[in-house]
Amino acid sequence: MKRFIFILSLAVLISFPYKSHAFASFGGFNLWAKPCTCSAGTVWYVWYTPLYLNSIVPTAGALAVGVPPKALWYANFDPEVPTTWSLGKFMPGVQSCWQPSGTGCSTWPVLGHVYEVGSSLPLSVP
Amino acid sequence: MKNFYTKLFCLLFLFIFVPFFAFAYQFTKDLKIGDLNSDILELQKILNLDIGTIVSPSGAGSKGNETNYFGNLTKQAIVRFQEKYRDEILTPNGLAYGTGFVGMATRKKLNSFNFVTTTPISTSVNSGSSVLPAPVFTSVNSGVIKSENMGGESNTFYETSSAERSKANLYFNGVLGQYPSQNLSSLRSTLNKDVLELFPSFVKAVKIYNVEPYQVKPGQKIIVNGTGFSEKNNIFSFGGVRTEGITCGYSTYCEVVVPNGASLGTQDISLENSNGNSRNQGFSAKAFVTNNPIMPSIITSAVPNQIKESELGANIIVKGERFAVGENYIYTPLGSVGPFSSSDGKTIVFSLKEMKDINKLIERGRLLKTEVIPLPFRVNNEYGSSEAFFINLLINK
Repeated sequence: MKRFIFILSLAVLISFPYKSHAFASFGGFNLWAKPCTCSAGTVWYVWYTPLYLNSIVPTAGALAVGVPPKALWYANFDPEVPTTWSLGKFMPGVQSCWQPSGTGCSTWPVLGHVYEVGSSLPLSVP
Repeated sequence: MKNFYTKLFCLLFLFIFVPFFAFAYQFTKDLKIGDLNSDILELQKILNLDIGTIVSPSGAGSKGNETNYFGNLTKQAIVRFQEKYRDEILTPNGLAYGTGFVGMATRKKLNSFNFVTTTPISTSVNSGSSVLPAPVFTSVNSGVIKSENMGGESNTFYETSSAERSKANLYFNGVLGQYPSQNLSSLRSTLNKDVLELFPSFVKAVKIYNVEPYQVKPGQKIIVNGTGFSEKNNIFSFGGVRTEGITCGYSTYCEVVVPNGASLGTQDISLENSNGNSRNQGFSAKAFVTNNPIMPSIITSAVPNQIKESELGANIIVKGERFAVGENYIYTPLGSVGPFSSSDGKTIVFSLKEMKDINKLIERGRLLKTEVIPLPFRVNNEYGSSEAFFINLLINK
């Protein structure tokens, strides 16, 4: 019976939610960036393509990049500058890019808000 | 001892195996517009995992608000789904465009996800963000298997190879499984106290972004989106008419009742609290106070929803509800174009060619061999701003 209670307690403890922030890592190429002029702080809407999200299969999508983010890892350049490679992590789902939309400001859907990021030097393309 | 192992097995089964087996969903019936059953609920959940196939960015059909009804929004989402997996669903059947009918080929594709539609175990996260478990591709068939009917068309269905499934697993683990599209309601759930602590600027800067809905009635409860709300004692001003002592909590929105004394017409909304005030935020958030408010426009479809760069001047027909007869503007992250009239209030026609910087975006995408750029847009008019809707810009095509 003691063993049963022990194992039951262990199972309950394991199944309890733990406190953590659901960060996700990403790497991608900044194709284009537009400022989110309404947002609190300096935030950019950045199209990443290719965009790698915990995967070797590339996709494309947008993230909101706050400048400066929490920290700049391996920073060579600002991550909002187009044609730079970025590597970092973001908080999925956080919608922080707000741009004017006539009657106020509206949020643009992004995969999340970049929390920590490092970037490369920009390439020489238009 | 035997009793001990029996109990141990039961516990292991309950905690480890049951959650994995209990929630896989298989579609066994064809589905079409007008259908009403539980399959539709599961269908919408899958569609809502991909930013390109979401049923609706808000309201009924949106993530967390899936329904049992196969309406026009679901049909349009299915069309996008079919066109996304064109090579597997449409091309083998000789179809160029999605049909919106969930036949054998589409069901096979849906079933191949072996999608877990309900989060079986709490994966953590008191940050409030619900990270769904990634789907797993498990089917082990390959080669051409059979002909089936889809929407009355004779067709051949090609099963995926193990290599393709492996690739798909990686893709879905990375993209669709973990990062479902988000809308404003999910923003509200993700930006809780824990998350806000990571982004101090969301908390300290006193800003009002907008009010929902835009057209409001005195005495009506509305949502004010912004940052810098204090937990208590917020003061909101509707064109100078104040409502005080509002409790907002620790978030990025606040529920406020429009003061009965608010003047009719367009009014600036501002916020003042212990963190500061929003008067110097650099832009104004407005509400239109009226006794007969009208809800913002809804976009239900955009045809075509994939635009080749070579067809940039092609008309995009946007269908929806409550477009203004007079002036509608299309907003994208690149900027806005318009005005566009809508004689029936349900249709707007525009082209991407009119969009500032679109050629620069394409040129850069071409140089970098980009294939697709998802482009959100919304309609803004006298009724406010619609939720965002996506079209894909296909580069090098």
